Amino acid sequence: MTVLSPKSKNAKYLSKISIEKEGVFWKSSIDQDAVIAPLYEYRNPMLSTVIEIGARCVAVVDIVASPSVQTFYSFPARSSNETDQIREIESVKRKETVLSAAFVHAVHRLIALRESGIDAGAQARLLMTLRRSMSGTSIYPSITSDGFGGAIAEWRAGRRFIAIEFTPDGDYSWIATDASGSLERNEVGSGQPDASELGAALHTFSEQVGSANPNWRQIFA
Amino acid sequence: MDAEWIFDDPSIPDETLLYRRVTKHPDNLVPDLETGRWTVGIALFTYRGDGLSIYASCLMEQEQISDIDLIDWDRERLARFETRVVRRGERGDPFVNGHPPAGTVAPGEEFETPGGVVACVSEHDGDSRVQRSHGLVRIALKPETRDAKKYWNAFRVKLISTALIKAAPRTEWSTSIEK
Repeated sequence: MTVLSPKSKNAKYLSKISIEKEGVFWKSSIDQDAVIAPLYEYRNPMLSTVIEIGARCVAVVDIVASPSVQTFYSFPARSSNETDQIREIESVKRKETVLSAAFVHAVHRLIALRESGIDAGAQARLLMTLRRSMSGTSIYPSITSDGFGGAIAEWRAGRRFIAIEFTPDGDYSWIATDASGSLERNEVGSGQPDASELGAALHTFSEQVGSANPNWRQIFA
Repeated sequence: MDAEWIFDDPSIPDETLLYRRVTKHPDNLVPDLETGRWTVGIALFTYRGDGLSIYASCLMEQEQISDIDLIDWDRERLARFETRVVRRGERGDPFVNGHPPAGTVAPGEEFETPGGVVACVSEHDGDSRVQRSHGLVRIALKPETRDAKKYWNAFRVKLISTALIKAAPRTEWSTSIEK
C-alpha cells in the first residue's frame, strides 16, 4: 500500500471542515458537502482516494464492496514513514455515510480527469452539487473538463439533456432542453444551483431514461 | 456591446462548413443514455478567449486541404456544423432590449440566438495551410463580459443539436458514433 505525499494547494476549498485535533477531522458536525475533493488515487485492492484536509491532515475515502457506502478515515499527513501512516489509519475515528452510485461514478470520473486542468474550486462545487442533488436512482452523469479549468456534468437522452457547468470564476450554468431540443432552462449564477430543484429535474430525467433503457448502466461498464 | 467587437464576417458564405476539434482526452463526447451511442456535449462548445476555435471550409478550399488534413486522428475526432446555423436567429439580438434569452429557443423555430464567424489565422497548428484555415465562432458579446454566458448557452444549443461527428478520416459524418 502506497501513501502519496499530500499537496496543499487545494486545501482552502476544504476549509469548512473542522479539525478538532491533529489527525482527526471527522465529527458529527462535519459538513458533508466539503468532504470530497480527490487529489490522489490510492491504489490498493479497494478503490480509494486520498484527499487533503488542510495542511495537517489527509483522509482516505474507500469505496468498499457496496458502491453506495464509503468509509472515511483520517490520519496525520506528515508521518515520518509509511508504516506509521498505515497504523494511524487503523486507529483513528471512522464513520460511514451513504453516497449514491451516481456520485461515486462522478468521483471516479474526476479522478480520471485529474491531469486535465480542472480548477479545484470548480471541481469542489460540482461535487457538492452532485452530492446534494443525486439519489440512489440517479442516472450516472458524464463528467468532463471544458478545457479552461471548468468542470461539467451532463446527462443526454436524444435531444433532451441536462448540463451543469462550473467555471473557475465561481459561476455556474444550468442548461436543459426538452425532448424536442428546445431550451427549457438557461440559468447562470454564482456558486451552485439550487440542489433540490436540480434533484427534482434529475429524478424526472432518470425515470424517463430508466424506462426507455433499463440497461443504461452498461454504457458506463 | 463593444463597438469594436466584430463577431461576423459576411464574406464567409452561409454554406461554409465549420470544423471543430474533438479531443479524446478529455473526452468531449457524451453518451446518449437511451441508445448508448456517443454524441457531442456542451464542453465542445466553450466560449473563452477570442471565441470558439474552428476551421472554415471556404478557407480550407483556398488552401487546398480537406477535413482529413485538419487533425491528428489518433488523438482527436472532428465535429462539423454549418455557418447558416451559427447565424440563424429569427428575432435578431435578444439583448438589444436588455433581456437575455431565458429559454424556449428551438432550432429552426421562431426564436434563436444568432452568432457569426470570422477568419483568424491560428498560431498553434504546425501546418501553415491549417493555420490559415482557422477561424472563430462568436456571438455579439465578448467572452468574459456580463451576460455572455447566458447568451452563449442559448446559442450553443443550436450547435449541440445540429453538429455531426467523424471519428476516423474515411468514415461518414454522423450525429453519433460507437465507442
